[in-house]
Amino acid sequence: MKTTVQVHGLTKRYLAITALDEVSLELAAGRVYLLVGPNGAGKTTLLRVLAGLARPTSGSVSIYGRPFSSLERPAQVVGACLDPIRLPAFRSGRQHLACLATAARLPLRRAEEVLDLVGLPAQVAARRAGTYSLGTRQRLTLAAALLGDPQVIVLDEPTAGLDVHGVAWLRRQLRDWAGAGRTILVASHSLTELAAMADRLLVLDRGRLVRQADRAELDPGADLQTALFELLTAQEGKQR
Amino acid sequence: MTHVLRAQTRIVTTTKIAVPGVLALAAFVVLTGLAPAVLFGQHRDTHTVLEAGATVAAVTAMLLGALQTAGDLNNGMTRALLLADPRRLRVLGAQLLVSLGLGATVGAAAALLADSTQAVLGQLNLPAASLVSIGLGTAVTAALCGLLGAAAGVVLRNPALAACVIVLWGYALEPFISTLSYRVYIYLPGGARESLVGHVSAHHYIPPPVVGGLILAGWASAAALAAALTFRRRDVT
Repeated sequence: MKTTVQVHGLTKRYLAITALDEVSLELAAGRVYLLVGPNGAGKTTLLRVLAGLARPTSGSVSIYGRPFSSLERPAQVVGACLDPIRLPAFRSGRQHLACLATAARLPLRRAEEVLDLVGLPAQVAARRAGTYSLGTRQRLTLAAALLGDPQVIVLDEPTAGLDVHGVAWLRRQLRDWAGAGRTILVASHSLTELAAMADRLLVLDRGRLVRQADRAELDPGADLQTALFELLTAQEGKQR
Repeated sequence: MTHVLRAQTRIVTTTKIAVPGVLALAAFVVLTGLAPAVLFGQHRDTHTVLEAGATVAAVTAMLLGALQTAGDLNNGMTRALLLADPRRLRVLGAQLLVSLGLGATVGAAAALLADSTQAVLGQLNLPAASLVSIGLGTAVTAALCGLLGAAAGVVLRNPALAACVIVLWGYALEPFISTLSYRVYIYLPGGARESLVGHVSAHHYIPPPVVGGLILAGWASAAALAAALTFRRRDVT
């Protein structure tokens, strides 16, 4: 399998707080990675560094061998869905995507295609964003991530605010995208919703990557939520 | 660069942040000329009305620029833009240029409104060359103030804080400094603004408009540099 993302010795500090501590990992094409860990483990920070929004204190991240900021057509390489955007009240979802499509040098019709893909009806996309629910904003953020039809898809808590249909759609999409050779990295607390879709689990705790395991290596009958809780408790015991 | 510039123009036009600002500006400019005439039967001289228009245009442009950039940093729009094009200085350059353009538009509109108001009152008694020069000065002032405000918004990041700083600076600190030392004041953005619109004073030396323009451009460049250094280094949330 081709390696698409390489993270090497990544450390990120905010003053006295170490958000990421010497994290190294590789992601391959055609696989879904589920990044889990307690609040404050560094999941979101890792995704932000990967997407070039936060600068590492030390270490490096490369995507197809290059930092995100030096990619020629970044939107066609990495699509990131981080926190749902808080759009200005008067801008519609369609206008928002048109802004981003323009910035990414993509045709405006691509906005219509991704709206269709994430299941946002035309009349909803035309409405002022001030009227959107959290789920609608989440779908719009997902649509923005997919504008460039990227090879690497990075999602932070993508099920937040999604209804059951949305979650089911996302689960199908994760497998479809991976099946088409894309690399998917999902950070989520919703183990029960997404673990079955993942090929590999990455466990972060206090900024350190404490465990990596293929889904197949885990006990198929195991309750993942309990297993993760036990792993993190054992880790905490070790550190004491 | 052009694609980010076009994207930023789309962002500004769809934010519609300028609508209430420009309406308030229009109301103020019209009232500055009309209110004394209608209420007290007095006419303000044309230069005073045009200068008042230029001041409000400058503050409006500065506020619009600051609210746009600080707001976009806060609401995630800048983050979304950087995911589409991660060259930070290019994105910042587009934001500053669009604020410059918006400021120029606001300034030109303010000058036209002030001229029209005075014309309606039959008080447009300056030579055409002076009107053009003041109008141009107002547009340049508002353009540079738009850029200054946008840069301040990037540095301060918080729209409410940026608005407070701009209003306090423009309406409290600069007037206070002008009472202490006019010689210092003429080198501040407010003093430069007065030079640009051809303010006349019997008591103080006012530099020519070109010098005022250069002083204001210097402030705008310094603010843009500070914004570039901040934006390059800081994490975007």
